[in-house]
This record gives sequence, structure tokens and C-alpha cells, in this order.
Amino acid sequence: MPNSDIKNVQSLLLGENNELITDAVRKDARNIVGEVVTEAIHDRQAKDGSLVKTIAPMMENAISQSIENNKATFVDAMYPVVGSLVRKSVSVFFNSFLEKLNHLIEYSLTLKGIKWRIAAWRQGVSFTQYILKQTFVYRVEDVLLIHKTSGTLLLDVAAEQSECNDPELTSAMLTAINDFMMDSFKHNEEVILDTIKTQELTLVLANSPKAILVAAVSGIPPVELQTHLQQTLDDIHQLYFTELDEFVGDTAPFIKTESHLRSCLLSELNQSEQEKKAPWLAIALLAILMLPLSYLGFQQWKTQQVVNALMAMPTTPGLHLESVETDSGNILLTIMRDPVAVHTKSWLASNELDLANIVIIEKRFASLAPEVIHLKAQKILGNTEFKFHIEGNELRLTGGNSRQLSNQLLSELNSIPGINQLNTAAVRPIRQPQMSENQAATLLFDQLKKELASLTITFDKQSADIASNMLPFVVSAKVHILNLIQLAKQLSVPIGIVISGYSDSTGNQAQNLALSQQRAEQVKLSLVAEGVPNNMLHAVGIGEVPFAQVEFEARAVMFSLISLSPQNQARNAND
Amino acid sequence: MISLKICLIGGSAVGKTSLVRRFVDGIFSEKYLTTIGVKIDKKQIDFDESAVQLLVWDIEGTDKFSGFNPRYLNGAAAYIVVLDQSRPDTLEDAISLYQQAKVVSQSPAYLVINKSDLPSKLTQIQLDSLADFEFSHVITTSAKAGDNVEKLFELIAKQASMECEPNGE
Repeated sequence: MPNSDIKNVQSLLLGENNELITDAVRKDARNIVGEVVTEAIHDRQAKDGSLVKTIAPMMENAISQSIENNKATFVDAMYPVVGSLVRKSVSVFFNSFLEKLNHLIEYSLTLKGIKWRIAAWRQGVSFTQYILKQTFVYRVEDVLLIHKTSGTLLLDVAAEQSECNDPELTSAMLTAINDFMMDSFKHNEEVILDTIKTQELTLVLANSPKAILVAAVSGIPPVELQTHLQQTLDDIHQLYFTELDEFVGDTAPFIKTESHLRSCLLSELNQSEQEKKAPWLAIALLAILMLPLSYLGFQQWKTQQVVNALMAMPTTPGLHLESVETDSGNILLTIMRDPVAVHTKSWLASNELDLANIVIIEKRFASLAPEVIHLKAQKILGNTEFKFHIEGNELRLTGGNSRQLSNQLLSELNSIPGINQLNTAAVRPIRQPQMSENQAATLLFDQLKKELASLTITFDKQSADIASNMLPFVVSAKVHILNLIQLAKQLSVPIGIVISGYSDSTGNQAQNLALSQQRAEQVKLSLVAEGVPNNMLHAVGIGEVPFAQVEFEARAVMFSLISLSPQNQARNAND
Repeated sequence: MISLKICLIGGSAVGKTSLVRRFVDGIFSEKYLTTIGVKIDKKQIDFDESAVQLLVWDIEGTDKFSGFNPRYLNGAAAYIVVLDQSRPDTLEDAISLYQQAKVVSQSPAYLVINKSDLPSKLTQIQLDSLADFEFSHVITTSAKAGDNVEKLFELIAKQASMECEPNGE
């Protein structure tokens, strides 16, 4: 059949450009490919592994793009893996740290460690080397892959703490020795060294036409090592034949043989060394180190607990917690306390606090809390028939009778800080036996004079300022003085108030005198500001009160009233 | 990393070991020590983008009668034939050794005329005759003064490492 006819028949059957066939296939392409795609991929990968190479870059792109677009999905997917990875790496780190620490202690602190040190020194080797020698039956220190003809080192891997320096020169020299051997013994065929022994090391060699694999071994190498080396070298030789054959100096392609070489870093532990299991020494040392730390921590925690409890304690009238500080295990508690309030120690004890390491610093103050005022009034009126009721600043008395209402009682009630007014309207009046108005005024005058003399305003060290807790006493002094002036006028008795300032006996005497003067002046100023006439007051500094036992009370200001007694008064009138 | 084996051959006391010491350690010693067998040293040369490590095989001095162990030249990227310009007979040794070496090695050979700090006793005819041999380079050096020593090894490293570069199709 002529060629043109065949072509005609072909175009009739298959179409002009085979489109009849390709169209038919295309219509069903999805099904056809779909049926075999998995097997086809599998077969191709098995055949030449090209699939991985083709897909890998695509997958890398796809993953990086996917991460860029939706990070959260990836984070979620990776989360469980990353967590366990981190845990694993931390635990590996910790284990190896413990192991190293254990070795360190074992070889430096124990009797065996000292013995070994002496032995190492006697043999003139480093302690590390000696330990290795004692610990291992044998250990491969270094593995060298050498290009056979040039003696160039292609790659070397060393065990931990190995001390092989300059593997390049070792490789070259080994080749040179081989060459020298062949020349010296006139061998025409190849001479193959298979072991070289020194006191410390044995070099075990495996040979192939293009390369030499050398293992530097300490201890006694087993026979299997040589076999293993030979097998490894054969593998390398097979895989890298071209690179070895065409080698002219570039060692880069042989970096990939590292895993092969690493597989030759074999070792065998001494029987006694193998028995070791847990690193007890390290654990014990760590525990000993941790003990004082945890004790300190516990003490700190206990103190903090007490501090927290103190801060959280409910307040009690008349007690004011100023500050809580800790100082080397002790707790410094600064507290302001009204004299009638509950004692600090019993207050702490009632809150179930251990007083063992609490140092209490107490400051006096007059509390204006209703409960405290009530308590003070109760104390004064406890033995009388009176009942009382306090509302705001006013104290209302009920019960009893006016005869029982002595001046002393009234002035005591009056001097309670926080009480400004006394209401005695509800007290049953009983006609007093006749007493002249003057007599009554004289009695009250004397009473108030006594009370004024008993008022003391105390000061902080080296200070002439009136502390806020002393203000109620100043006010009390004012009330007394104004009443006294009033009564004196009534009785026509000339009076004057001397305000005397004192200081304690520590420090410079001259300065103390000045300080005592300042204190008196300061109180005088306050009284004048409160409305006491200036010409009635005389401030004077007395200086030191040399009683160390009453140091606190010595830093004070006191009041004295000077008046003429009736006899002198008469004489005065005659003058 | 490129790692190259370079061999030095030549008559006795022409200064092979001194050349290597000058190159590797940068020092020169008047003391003469004869090399037995082979002595190997290494030094790295850094170029702009790459580094080349040279393993220099300093082979014991031999003369035209005794010859040297040709196996030492195996795998060498280049070899250096050294002569002493103050002793004209070392030229004969050099040529003889070169001819022996050529049989076993196809690598480039460099001729080094050493001891340039001493007066030359080589005749012009002798120098001209060198052109008949296929040395890659002929260089005059002084291990004592340090002249050209560094340059010699750099030249060898550069040329030999070019051979190593992956060739195109």
C-alpha cells in the first residue's frame, strides 16, 4: 500500500492530528487518571525516587504560603507536638546535666577519684584521659576518612572529650608511612597496614581502592571493629565512588559521609561502670544544696503569712496599726494605743497570732473612738450610781443625785478627750447644805489647779513639735486654764501659768536647754492660738531631767499655776 | 574546603625544609637539619571568597643517583623542584629528579631557584636550558630573606584550586 494511502486511513481512523483518539481520552481523562494515580505515584517513587525531589520544593512553598495566610491553623496543629518536644528537650538537658555533675563529683570528691588522680599523675596522662581509660574497655576516639592516593583528609569525626589534634597531618603521615613501607620493603604490589599500635592508642585501618578509613581506639579494640570499619568503608566507596575517583582537593561532597563515620564511634563500658544507674551523688548534692534554701524560703513564707494575718486583722477601738515591717525574720509592729484600750499583746493573742518573733513598738495616743470614750466614762462612773449616755460630744448623766455630783467627778468627765459638754439636767437635784459661792469656787479652783499640774505633754526625741496625738492634751490644758482664769477673776486671786519645758539627758547640755525652752514656747504658742491670753502664760526651759529610766516622760512640758494664797493676798494689799 | 597536597623535591641542602618553615612558620634558621623520609606541614591560605589548605610534603633531599620514593608524589596537586643557585650541580639533580617525577605524576611542576640572597653561580646557558622543560613556572626565591616564598605557594594554591572548581558541561 502506498504511503499516502496509509496516511489517509490513519487520518480517517484517528482524525487529522489524532484528535479522534485524544478527544475520546480527554472526555474520560479524570476517571482514567483517577483510577491509577496513587499506584502510579507509588511506582515512580519506588523506581527512581524522583517524585520526592519534584514535590519537596512545591510542598515547601505550599506550607510557607499556608502559614503566611493562616497562622492560627498551623499553631493549633503544631501545638501538641511542640509542647512535648520542649518537654523532651528539657528533660534530656536536665538528665545530661545531672549525669555530668555526678561524674564531676564522683571523680573529684570520692576516694576513687583521688586514687585515679594520683595514678593519672604518675602515668603522666591527663585526668580526663585516665578516666576514659578506666571507664571504657575500648573507645573509638576518632574516625578519619582519607583519600588514598593523596593522603588528604576527607572528613573526621571525634568522640566527646577526644584529644586527637590535627587529623589532617595524621592522615597525610599515615599515607606517607604506607608509601614508606612499600618503598622500604620493595613491595611492588600494595602494602596494606591494618593496625598501628602505640602505648595509648591503636589505629585500626580499613582499606578500599580509593579511600582509607582509620579509627583511633583507646583500650583494646575488639575484632568486630575492623569488620565494621570495612563494611562502612565499602558502603562509602559504593555511594561516593565518582567523588572519590575524581577527587582533586575539594572535600565538600564528603561532609555527607558524617553519619557513616559516626556509626564507627563505638565503645564498650567497663562492667563496673555499666552497673551505675541513677546519678545518686548528684541528686544528693543538689538536695543538700537545696535544703538551706528551702528552709530559708519556708521561714520567709511563714513570716509573710504572719504579716498578711496582721494586715488583715479587724481593728479594735483605741488601737491603730501604724506599720508592719520585716527585718531578718523579725516583724516590727508599730502600733498606736490609747491607755484604756486592750493591751497589744492580748489583742494579738486573741487573734491567734504567734508572738514569738513580733517586736512591738507602742505609741501613746488619745483615741476619739466612741467605744473608747464610753470606756473612759465607764471607768470614772463605774462606782457611782450614775448612768450615762453619750451622743456626739455630749455626755448626759442620769440617775444619782446632785449631791453625788462632785467637782472632781465633773472635771474628770470633762477631761475625757472627745467630750466637750456635760449635761446634768437629768440628775436629781438635792439641795446642798449651804455653802457660800466663794467656798464652792475655791474648791473648784483648787481641783482644776491640781488637774492642770497633772497634765503632761510629751515630745519625740529632738523635737519641739507637738505631735498630733498630743493635741487633745493641749485642748484639755486650754479648757483648764480658761476655767481657772474665770474662777480667779471671781475670787479676785491674781494668777499666772508657768509652762516649763524639759528635755532628756542625752546629748549636749546647752542644746538640751534650748530645746526645753522651744518646747515650752511651742505649747505657749498653741495655747495662745486657742484663745488663752498671752500675758497669763510664761514659758520657761528648765533643761535636762537626768533620769534615764524615765527618758520618755522627761521630754515633756508641764504646767504650774502660781497664785497668791489668802494671807499673802492680804499682805500684798498692804504693800 | 579545598585541601591540596604539594610536594617538594630537590638535592640535599638546597633549602626545601627552609622554604616550608619560612612559609608555614615565617622563620628561618641557619642550622642545617637533614630530613629523613618525609615531613608534612599544613597551612591555610585565605583568598577573597575561599580558603585553600595546603599539605606540604617536604621529601628528603636526594640526588640524581639515589632518586626518591615516587609514591610520595601520588595524588599531589602540584610539586616543586628546588635547586640552589650557589651550587650549580644542584641544577643537574633538579632536572634528573624532575624527569623521574614526570613519569609518575601529571601534575604541574614548579621550578624554584632558591638562595637568591647568595651570588648566583648559574651560567646563562644553564638558565636558558631550563626552557626545554615543561615547568609551569620558574621562580627565584630566598628562604632566608623571605623573598617570593609566600608568592610561590599562593600561586600554586590559586592555580591548583582552579583545577578543583566544578567544570561546566
